[in-house]
Amino acid sequence: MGQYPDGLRSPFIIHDPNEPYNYDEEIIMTFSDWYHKEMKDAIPDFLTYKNPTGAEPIPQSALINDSQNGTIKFEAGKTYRLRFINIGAFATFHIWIEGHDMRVIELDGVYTEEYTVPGLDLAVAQRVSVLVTALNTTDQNFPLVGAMDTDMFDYVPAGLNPSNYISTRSY
Amino acid sequence: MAPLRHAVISALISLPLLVYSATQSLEWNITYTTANPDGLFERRVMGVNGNWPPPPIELNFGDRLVLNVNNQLDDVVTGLHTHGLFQNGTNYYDGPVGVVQWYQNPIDSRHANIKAALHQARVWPTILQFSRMALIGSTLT
Repeated sequence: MGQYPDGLRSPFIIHDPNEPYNYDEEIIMTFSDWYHKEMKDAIPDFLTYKNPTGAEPIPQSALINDSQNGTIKFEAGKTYRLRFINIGAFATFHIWIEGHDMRVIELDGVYTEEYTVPGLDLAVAQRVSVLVTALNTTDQNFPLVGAMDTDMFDYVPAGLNPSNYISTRSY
Repeated sequence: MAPLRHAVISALISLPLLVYSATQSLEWNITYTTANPDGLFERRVMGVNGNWPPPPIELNFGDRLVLNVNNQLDDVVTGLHTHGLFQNGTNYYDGPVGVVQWYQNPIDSRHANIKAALHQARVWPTILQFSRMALIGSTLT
């Protein structure tokens, strides 16, 4: 908690001139829970004797790249490096792309051996890079889903949509 | 001849570093603005230079970043830190404000002189090494 849930946070990318992995393009993708209440009001509500269980504020929305229902460009057959960053305050995100596997190549700034996963979980402040090769089709777009893990929420308010997605725009 | 040979060799070794190293200087005024990213509720947010979301920073391995931060929030102190960077010897540019990092005071005419000094002191001489990705956030005291 602090000022970053009020929006004061951004990606900080350091490119490696000797990049060991090959890919055609890279896309920065931030994930964040979003609160309608400013932290100057939310923190006193949280840190008070009236909240003896320490129930954390529940976010109102999930953001990807600080918006909702956006698109990213996916050219058939091209390989993309997606830099996933959870810039949120509380919620872990489950992330997957319909119809595509992801190959993890970097965790928190450290390269890994390439490891294929159908999806992954991204906790707050975690950074993961994956390689994704766009399917060889141009007749379909695919959602990249970021779904907040609601297990840590004390309750899930009616009307809360814990998920957000970005459509890949196939070319 | 040994010293000369060493000088030539070390110059050759450091040449690629010199080629790749660059300094990026940014002026960041931390300001309030409004945003409605989920389409449900317009609210006050903290942005940079009047815009939200704050811009990403992209550098190459070995580059130097000089980030001049100006707190124009009026009512609260602020500070910036990164996740994933080694801050060996520059701990005061990292971590919680008021613990290891100096305050960035809000604009206050009574402290105008102090503030100006603070702003000049608020550069980040961090030479970015070993880390490739990080996140900027902020702390509140």
